[in-house]
Amino acid sequence: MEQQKRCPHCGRALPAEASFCPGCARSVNARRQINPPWHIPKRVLYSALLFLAAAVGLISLWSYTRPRIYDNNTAEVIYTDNDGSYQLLLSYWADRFQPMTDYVEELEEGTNAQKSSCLYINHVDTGVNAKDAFFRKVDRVSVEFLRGCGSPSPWQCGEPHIPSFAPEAARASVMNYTSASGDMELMWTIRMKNGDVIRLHQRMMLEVVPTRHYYPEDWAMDTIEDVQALVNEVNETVPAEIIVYLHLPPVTYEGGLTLDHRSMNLVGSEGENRTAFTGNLQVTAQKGFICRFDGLDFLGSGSGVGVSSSARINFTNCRFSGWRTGALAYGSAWVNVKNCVFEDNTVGFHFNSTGTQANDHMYSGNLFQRNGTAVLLENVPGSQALSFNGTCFAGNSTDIDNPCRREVNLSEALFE
Amino acid sequence: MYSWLSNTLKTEFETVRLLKERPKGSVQLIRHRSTGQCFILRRFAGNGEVYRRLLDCSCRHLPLIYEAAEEDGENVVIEEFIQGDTLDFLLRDALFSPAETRQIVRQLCRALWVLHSLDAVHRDIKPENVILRGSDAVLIDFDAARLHKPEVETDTQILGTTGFAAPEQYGLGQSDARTDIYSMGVLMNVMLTGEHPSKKLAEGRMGRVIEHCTRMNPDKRYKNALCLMEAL
Repeated sequence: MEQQKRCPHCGRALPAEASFCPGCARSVNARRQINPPWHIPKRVLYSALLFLAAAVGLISLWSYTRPRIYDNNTAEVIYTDNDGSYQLLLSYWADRFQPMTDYVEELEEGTNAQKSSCLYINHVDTGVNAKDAFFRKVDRVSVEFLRGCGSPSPWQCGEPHIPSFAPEAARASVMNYTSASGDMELMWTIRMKNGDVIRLHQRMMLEVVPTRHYYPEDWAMDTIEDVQALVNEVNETVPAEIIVYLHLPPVTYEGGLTLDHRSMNLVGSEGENRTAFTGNLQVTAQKGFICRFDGLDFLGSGSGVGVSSSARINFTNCRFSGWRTGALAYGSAWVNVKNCVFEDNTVGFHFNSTGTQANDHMYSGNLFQRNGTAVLLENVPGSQALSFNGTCFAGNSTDIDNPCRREVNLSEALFE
Repeated sequence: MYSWLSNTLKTEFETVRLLKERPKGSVQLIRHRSTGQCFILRRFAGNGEVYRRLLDCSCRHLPLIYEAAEEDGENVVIEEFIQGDTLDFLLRDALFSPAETRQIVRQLCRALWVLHSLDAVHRDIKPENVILRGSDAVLIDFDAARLHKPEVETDTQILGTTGFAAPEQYGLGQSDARTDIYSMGVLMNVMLTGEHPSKKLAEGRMGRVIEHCTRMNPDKRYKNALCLMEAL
């Protein structure tokens, strides 16, 4: 025998092809364990597949029917149910198609403000206002601040209500805040009757604008020359980013005044005697914020222009009396008047601006009386209708002369 | 190799007893002299290829084949001694329940799958060739086994045991894996009823499985041991 290998267990000499060692009675070859392949019986496989399909179906049904949460951390959500898709959005303005998630608000230092967060609901396919149809499916609505409650002057919001000031809005919440309130995040939570929850977010960054006040106790304001000198000094020393208030004494200023560099606010005396100008006030200041003139009388003698402005001005509680033109807006200016009196002028308020920037369209609470033409609309920027809500026209030869054919809303105006 | 093994058997082993004597061979229980370990020694005339293929395999439902050698058609095989009772012995006193039958036959199917994967057909599945070692059924005796040759249409020798042998083993075709499926069907029926299925078919689902196993046409039977396992 030709011995060609040895037993690995006892060392005995073995033939090369031996599988077994007779010396120690053990196998000397390698064996492989053979097992049938792992096999799933068809019956079990079918049952498992059936079970799996049923489980998938049940999970799908469960996930389809379970209440869902719609929250994408913005002011707009598309909500879909059996009746279609709805666009829900929040806006501070009366625009039901423009969601406003992030907004930067500039507020004067030391002032309060109020803004409304309005909820609009549109049908996605048709664009029609779907607020009524949608709210039939709503269980309840709430608003809360996620940020802005920790400051000494915290943000406050009212319960959502149907707003009279924004008839297209489904609900609105009025927010009150001050320049010390800081940034805020507002969240609307709409709980549907079917259990779905929709959340909408609005964030506002509050930028406080520094303000500087000038009082007659501190600065000479006895004559128009004093006021002009003060205006000139402010122009030279105070940047346009700072809002300036000139609190004028109860003086009747003789002569003209020019505001020609940066904007500033003129505040008339709050006492029994009012601050009055008898000469022309010319405003061409283009830098800074909108000028605000409050509590001033502009008293003419039948000729001239009371206030001629190529700058933006909001007049409140002012009187324009006895001028050829009480207030003239020209250049690219937008001028708004509220709660003002125009009387005995050839033309009370003359809008002749060829600018493109429109502003406040509400000309409410005014009194136009005994003017030749109360309102002359020769050129008006933009296209939105001018509303004269609560404005009274009395004894004017012409109440509104509208050669530029600008749309005006006189539905709530009074004509005597 | 054959002469080396024969000489070794004389010097290293001693015969305990003769278990089976047949015209073509014998089966003996032998003991290794130095370790005292018992083995089965098979001597038979014929083809021992199946044993040689099993040398490299291990399956808990088949005996380990330790050595197999052939010379001039004479084979000598040393295989594992399976301690236990044969089904034949156990069936003398009682029948098996369907659950017991199902468990045993599934184990035998695993053994068959190993054989069939080696292209071997047992061809002599019957209660005497199944030993219960504890809870494990072990299929023994591959003397009648042959390798399946796809190119051959009929078997050259009629081997197997009457009653358990499939029709094709009587010259009606070549035996293949489905031949063993037939025998498994008969075995199952005997375990459940004590009778050949032609005389008394087991009832219920097991009866339907047995009927499927024992169809005359091999094409109509379960096509392999895995299919039978699945049916069980």
